[in-house]
Amino acid sequence: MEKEERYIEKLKEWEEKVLKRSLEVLPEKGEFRTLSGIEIKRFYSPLDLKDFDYFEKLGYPGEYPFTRGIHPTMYRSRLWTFREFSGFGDAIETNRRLKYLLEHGETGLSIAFDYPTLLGLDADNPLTRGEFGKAGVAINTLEDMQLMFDGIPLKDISTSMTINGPAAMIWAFYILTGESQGAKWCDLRGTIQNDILKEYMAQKSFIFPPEPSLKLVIDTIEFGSKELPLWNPISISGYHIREAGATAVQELAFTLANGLTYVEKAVERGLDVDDFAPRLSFFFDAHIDFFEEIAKFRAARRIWAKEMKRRFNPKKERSLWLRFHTQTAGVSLTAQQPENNIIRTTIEAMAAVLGGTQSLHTNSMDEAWALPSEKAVMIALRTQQIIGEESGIPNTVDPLAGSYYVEWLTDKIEEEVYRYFEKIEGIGGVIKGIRSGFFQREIAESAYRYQKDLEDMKRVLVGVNKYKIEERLEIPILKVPDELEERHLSRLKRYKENRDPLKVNDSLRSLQRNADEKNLMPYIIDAIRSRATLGEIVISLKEIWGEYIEPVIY
Amino acid sequence: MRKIRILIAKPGLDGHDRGAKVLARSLMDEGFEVIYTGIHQTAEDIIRSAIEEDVDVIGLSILSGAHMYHFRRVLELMKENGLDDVLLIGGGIVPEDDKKKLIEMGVNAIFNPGTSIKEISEFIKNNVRRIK
Amino acid sequence: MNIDEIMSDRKKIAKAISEVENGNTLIATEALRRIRGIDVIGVTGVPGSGKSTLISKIAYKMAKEGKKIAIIGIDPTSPFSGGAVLGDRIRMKELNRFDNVFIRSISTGGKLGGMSYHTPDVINILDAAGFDLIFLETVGTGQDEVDVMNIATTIMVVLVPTLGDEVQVIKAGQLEIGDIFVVNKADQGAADEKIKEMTLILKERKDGWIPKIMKSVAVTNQGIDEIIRALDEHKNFIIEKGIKNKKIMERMLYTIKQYALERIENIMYNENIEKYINQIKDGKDISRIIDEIMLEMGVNYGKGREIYRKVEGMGGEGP
Repeated sequence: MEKEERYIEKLKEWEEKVLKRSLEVLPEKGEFRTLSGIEIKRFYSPLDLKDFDYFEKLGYPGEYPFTRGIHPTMYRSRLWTFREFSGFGDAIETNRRLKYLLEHGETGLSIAFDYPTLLGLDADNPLTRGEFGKAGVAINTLEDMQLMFDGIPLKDISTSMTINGPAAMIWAFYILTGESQGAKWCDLRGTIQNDILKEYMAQKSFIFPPEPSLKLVIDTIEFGSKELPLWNPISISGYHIREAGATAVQELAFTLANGLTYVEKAVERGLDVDDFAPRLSFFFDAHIDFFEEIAKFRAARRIWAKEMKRRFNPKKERSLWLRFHTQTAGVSLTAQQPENNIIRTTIEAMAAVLGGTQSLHTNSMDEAWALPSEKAVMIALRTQQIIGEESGIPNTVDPLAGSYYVEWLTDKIEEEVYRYFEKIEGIGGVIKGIRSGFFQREIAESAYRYQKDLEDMKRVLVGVNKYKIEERLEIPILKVPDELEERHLSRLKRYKENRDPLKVNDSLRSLQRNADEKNLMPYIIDAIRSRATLGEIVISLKEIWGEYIEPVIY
Repeated sequence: MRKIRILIAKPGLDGHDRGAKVLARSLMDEGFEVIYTGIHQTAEDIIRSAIEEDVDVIGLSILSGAHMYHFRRVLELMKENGLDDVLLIGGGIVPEDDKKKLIEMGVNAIFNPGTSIKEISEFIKNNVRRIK
Repeated sequence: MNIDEIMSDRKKIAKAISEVENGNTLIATEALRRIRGIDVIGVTGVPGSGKSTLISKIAYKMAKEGKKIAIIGIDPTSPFSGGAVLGDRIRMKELNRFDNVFIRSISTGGKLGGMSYHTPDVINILDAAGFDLIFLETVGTGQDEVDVMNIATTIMVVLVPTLGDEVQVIKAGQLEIGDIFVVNKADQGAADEKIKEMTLILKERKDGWIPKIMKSVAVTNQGIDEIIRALDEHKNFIIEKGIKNKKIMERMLYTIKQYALERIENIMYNENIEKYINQIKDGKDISRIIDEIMLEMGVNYGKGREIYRKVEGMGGEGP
């Protein structure tokens, strides 16, 4: 650093003359930490970025290490995709909601599935009682998928589907739906979440044990790279890890470690890293600590580019890109004074945009109570539109670059992430860590600490532990009508009656025979063509692979 | 003297166990004995654990929207098994209307997100039916 | 509560356990009088070694054959709050399908040694209630956990290949008390090496039993049949050698000893601590207070005082 002595000298002078006097009159209050517990200094100056090398740390936009963004022009060429997560009840009801969102300016679809579907259970399975359509849409058959996208041409829109355990099956439903609409496979665009590792760590919607699950994920990556080049076969997700209680650093470290595990496995399979790495996508949480989140997103791109280069040395630059979707933090929403959630979501959405996200879901204000009502979703969507089209925030690329604080924090998060990488390596990698409960313990510990901070008033939550009021809830709440379940069940029954059971059986046996050796995607597609249901395919594989029982950590 | 014993369970298919786990640990900090039974519990599992563990309180955490079904089922089985001196409380994403209905059905309390541990702890101490 | 009535169903057994945990000596002593001397398998080993899962798998097979099985899982009491999180049964969910299985979680009550004063009472209740076999899973902090040997007829120590837990096992004295050593999670590391290491350290017991060492992968049911066979072998061994009765006798005496210990603790702390503190505040001589406590406990302290005086080098007047 140039003239370092001068900065130090001036700083001493300032501390003596200015700061001391000020602190006497106006002492500082409390501790200053980020949401994740990183200690924050009074202010930042060039002294905090002593060895800062612009080209090593940042580079120009769209240039290695991509800290400033993966595209040279970012939002000046195209805004991020406005994508609102939706789905409830049955396929027909959800179709209505999707059309509503498209009419109001949504630019990409995002599907939420109900719990039975997430666990690969058909709605006629007794285990699913009470859960139908409650947290998303139930999709059991090809017919369901076709109804959900009825009148929505899949060749023209991209669809993101939050599905993990049975991602391969749901994707196959989608591919065949597109096909039945006349779209070519290679034109289909979208994402399946398909990130099973974080299910074991955080979200707990797993079906099979980690090893066969991972095999199935690599099957989809391989299949996608050959047949659906515009599809993102995986969205490596920190969101659920964060929502389960992790800190920003843990979210990033665990997610990137998962990502690198998938790449490793795919390369072990014999795939060329450049054939699939450009299609890997990520999904992060945007929590309420504004600067920490921005720094997290910037650090994420830099670490991913560096590690991909170091470990796999791809030829295509795109293989180094960390492209990501963001959702504002569900856990930051409060049931109390729900309108306040609009403001929280706005702050979080701004952080995502300033962090360079490729697509965004803004939460609705009523989501601490139920699935969002139409009005609440509209406000959430409008929030994105105001940021995108009114605020001027997207006018320049990475506007916070060069801020002493933001750059310091970006470096700090990177450093802490690398510390976790070492730890994970030390315990034998991601899968061993899952089996021994390492990640679950880390996350539970952070969640507990956060709650303690709230209880001890070390952290303020407006309307919850401060500024509380007596209130009567006045937001409309979405209810899932019971008739939808009946409608779905009778459709499922009819679907099963109108097929050749021998053909179904043959296709399922063939799937089972090839479960461990072959890429399963074609076999799954075959089974669906024979009119097998989601539940039947999953049960067939459970017979071969077993079910996962987690080590319980609390 | 024996501590107040609380069963914490997650019925149904929802795997979001952050709240349940944090609550289990926090109630331990408040001096309770907490029996944590984890995710994917059926109503039958819950009742069996409640009986064998001889708990004073059953606490269910549900974020999946399936609360009406699960609470109804647990209440039915509680009645069948004569657990009328056991408190049934719940937490999670439960809209006001449903909350009212659940209380009418016999659930003793529903705590929304943001309820402090102290509040839950006080409620339990003041309402536990068994004479210790 | 009448003891015959208590033993007739699950709910009543559960209530009876609560009663004895709560200090109901009537029920406790009645159970003690009625014990039949069934096998108690103490299961110990460090946290994360998979004790609960292993018990679950063993119990599953036994229950399927119709055996009546009770499982007691012990978890630690928080020294700060007195509360506890008891989470052992979470790993035994698959046992819920059996009517002939009973699971109960209990806390250490903050007592060293890994067991509350009333743990033997809980075992006695289950023994008297007509179960065929009891598993007693200890806390597994790996320290000072030999109390289990006073209750169990067979002790199984669970290890894992990935941890250097044999050091802990040796420190905790489990090397001497273990009858069966299981290297669980054998798929996750050098299990065979661990077995070799253990075989080198383990010696024949005074009673002639040669400790068994075997491996398992509990989650996938590997090694479970072998463990069941080993448990049977040890069971037969102690009967043939006539050791079993001695062990049951030990459990009974231990139960009574716990009553005494609890009584002493109550006299010294729980019941009188404030009284003593106030007396000290009022200027009463500490040595007089100690005399009174000793008297109350029925200890002939006078002799102790004389011996103390006679010992050279202890200095001064003594207490």
